[in-house]
Amino acid sequence: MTLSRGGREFLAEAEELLEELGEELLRISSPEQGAVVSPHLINAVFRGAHTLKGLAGMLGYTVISGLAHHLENLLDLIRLGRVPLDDRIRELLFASVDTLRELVRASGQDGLSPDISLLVAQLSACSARSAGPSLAHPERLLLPSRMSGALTEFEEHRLHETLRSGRRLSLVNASFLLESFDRELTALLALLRSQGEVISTLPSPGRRRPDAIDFQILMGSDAPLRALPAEVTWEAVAPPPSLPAAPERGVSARSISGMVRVDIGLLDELMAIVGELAATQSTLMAAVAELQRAAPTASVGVVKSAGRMGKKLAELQTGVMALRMVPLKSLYDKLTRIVKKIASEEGRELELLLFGAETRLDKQIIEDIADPLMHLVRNAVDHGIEPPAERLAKGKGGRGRITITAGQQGNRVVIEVADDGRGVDLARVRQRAVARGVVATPDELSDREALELIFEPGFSTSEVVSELSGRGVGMDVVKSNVTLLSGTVALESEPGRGSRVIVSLPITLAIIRTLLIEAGGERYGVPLAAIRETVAVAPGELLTHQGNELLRLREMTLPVIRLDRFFSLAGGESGESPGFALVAGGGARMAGILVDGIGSQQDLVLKPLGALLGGVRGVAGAAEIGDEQSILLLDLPGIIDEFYRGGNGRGPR
Amino acid sequence: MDHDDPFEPLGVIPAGQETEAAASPGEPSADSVPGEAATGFLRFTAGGLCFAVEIGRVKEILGPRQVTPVPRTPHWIRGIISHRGAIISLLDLCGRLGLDHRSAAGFGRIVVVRSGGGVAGLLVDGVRGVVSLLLSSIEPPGEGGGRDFVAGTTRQGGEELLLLNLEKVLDLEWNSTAA
Repeated sequence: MTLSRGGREFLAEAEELLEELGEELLRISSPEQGAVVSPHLINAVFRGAHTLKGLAGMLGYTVISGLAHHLENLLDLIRLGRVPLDDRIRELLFASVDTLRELVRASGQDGLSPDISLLVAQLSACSARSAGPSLAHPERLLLPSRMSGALTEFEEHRLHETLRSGRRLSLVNASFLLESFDRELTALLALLRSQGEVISTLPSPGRRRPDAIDFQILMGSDAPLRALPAEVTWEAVAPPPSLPAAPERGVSARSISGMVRVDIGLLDELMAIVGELAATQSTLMAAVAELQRAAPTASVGVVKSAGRMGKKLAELQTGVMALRMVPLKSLYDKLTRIVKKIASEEGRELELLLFGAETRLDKQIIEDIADPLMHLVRNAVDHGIEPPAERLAKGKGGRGRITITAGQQGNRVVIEVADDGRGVDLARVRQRAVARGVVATPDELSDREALELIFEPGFSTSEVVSELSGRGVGMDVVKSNVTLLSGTVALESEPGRGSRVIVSLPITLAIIRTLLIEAGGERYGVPLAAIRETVAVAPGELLTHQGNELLRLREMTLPVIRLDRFFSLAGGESGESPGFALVAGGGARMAGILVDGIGSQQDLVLKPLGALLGGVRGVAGAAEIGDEQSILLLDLPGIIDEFYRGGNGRGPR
Repeated sequence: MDHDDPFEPLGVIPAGQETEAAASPGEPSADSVPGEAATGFLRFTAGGLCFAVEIGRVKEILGPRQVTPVPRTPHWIRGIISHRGAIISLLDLCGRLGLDHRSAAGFGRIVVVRSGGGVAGLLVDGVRGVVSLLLSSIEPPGEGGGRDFVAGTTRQGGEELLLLNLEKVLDLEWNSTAA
């Protein structure tokens, strides 16, 4: 058997890994470690086995990766304290590493591979003896909730052990500038480790400065922390009032969190009822107003009560909406698992930084955004982040980093998925645009236009069909999924430094602030979030260029979409009568949508049109306004998109 | 909100049943197979023809109400209506079947039927109550006159009754090609 280059590299790297593993195992077993083994050390052995598994798996050495997998499993249980590290287990660990060495050696020669079935059986048997997870109840501690909610099982276990052994628990707060936090954090962690055990490190966006990153570090130590840098603060965390003397192995029947699980269907029903109440309320208010005009004195009581009811109804609406809101954390956990899986399957070093796990979104939106976000992460790994060798050559550090940041901005939530990879190859996008006949020459496309093309079907720039994201799903699908949620998606790229996808979503789908408009004799609702501004358009104010109507808005000239023509409404060509333009869209794709009139703003409960009508383009859904009357809600981004594609034959180009 | 509606949906069905019993007493038993259970069908008229759908598929019968048109849909889709907080698509049965509108007074009733997971409304001229039919009395449809949408025919009180093929009537094909 001749070894390929990849095989030789594997051999070298695997031998190195196994050497380290062996050394760490020796240290774990050394007498000076005593009965209590440093969790830091066990964690290091665990990670070593994990890396070996990924490496072997990537290159198709299934026997090696299989054994490493069983070893990793057992080590995971040991570091979680669920399997005690006794002499028998130590022997088994040594035997596994020895066998792995033989296997690696055999892979380089035409030798006979040792039989691993007995060893695998022993490893599995030990793993099967594991106890259930220990309960640290981090929520009982006086920890910030975002920290107690973010602990992994391993971290919870370490927290539990720290408390049980009566050590001090401290919360360290530090803030570093983004450009240098890598170095500074490593130094701080080293300092902290010299005084105790770092249990968890949780980053968050800089609170005082936007170009800073804050860290909260939870650690256990025997003595109060000392000699910390001046800008680093720390506080002691009080142990819970009554920690059980012996660790509980069972789960208490009493709920600790005071949470109730609710079927989302019940919430939907509740929401629908509240929506109907709101509609009834608006009818009632109109009647009350009329009554007030007719009988000002006699109606005082009714007017007051109706006003109070309206206020309480608004509170009820807010309350029901809040019930539907869940933090992004569950989605982040899923993404973490995916990245771990990709990293181990492909043997890549990936780092996933997640910020804003506490950001709340409508449960339905979280469910619907999960796939697009996973796709963006996979895209970042497949097309963005370079292989380690290429990264090192560029001076980047072998470990690729994906950062997901979420936060609320007004009534929208913005989620950014950024990677520090190679960025979008705009030259290739331009080439493809020419090849597909979108433009005649590459120079016709500005950088921004080229970036927007990525959201068009068939414009994924990767020529290698990878197992992960090459299943024919591209950015166009991400975009259409996000658009279905009344969201927008934008892409930024810096060649060589990475790209960033910005997804903006409404906080809730259930209630939408809507502007009522009139066009072609029909009334429609337009989600206010989609409108940049509304401008009055006098007759004769529009310019005409090559048959296209244009609207001058300050220094810009926008194409005009006449809604009545777009929808072929019979109710009248508005012609030269005055109207209003709803300015919408973004970037290179903005337009003024011309309507006959604009009316009031209302909070409407968006409802789907159902299977029979659901596919109508330009319509996002319907809502009930007032008494058994319905109105269509327009999908402005969809209308503009279609216009620019020339879908109705009136678009430019 | 439902109290505003002078139309009483539940009243229609028993009333129709009574009329039917008075007009043709004992008819279902005339050509019945012994032991065969009869199935209830809602009878309604559209474009001068008499149609029926299995009563189990009928969710509600509604009176006239405001319809919101939906652009970019075929002519036989009238639009949407809002009822009890739900949005229901409304089809004009005559238009769908390619029949002339004979009733000059516009439409009379909306028959809300279950289709797949959702519901849809059929615009009809009038509802003529519930009849019991023996499945063995139903014959395959003939040719022409919207018969593509008919699952079978039978005679009832000297009148031809067309059993609607709801799956065909509510076919979404136009939608998938539009989207």
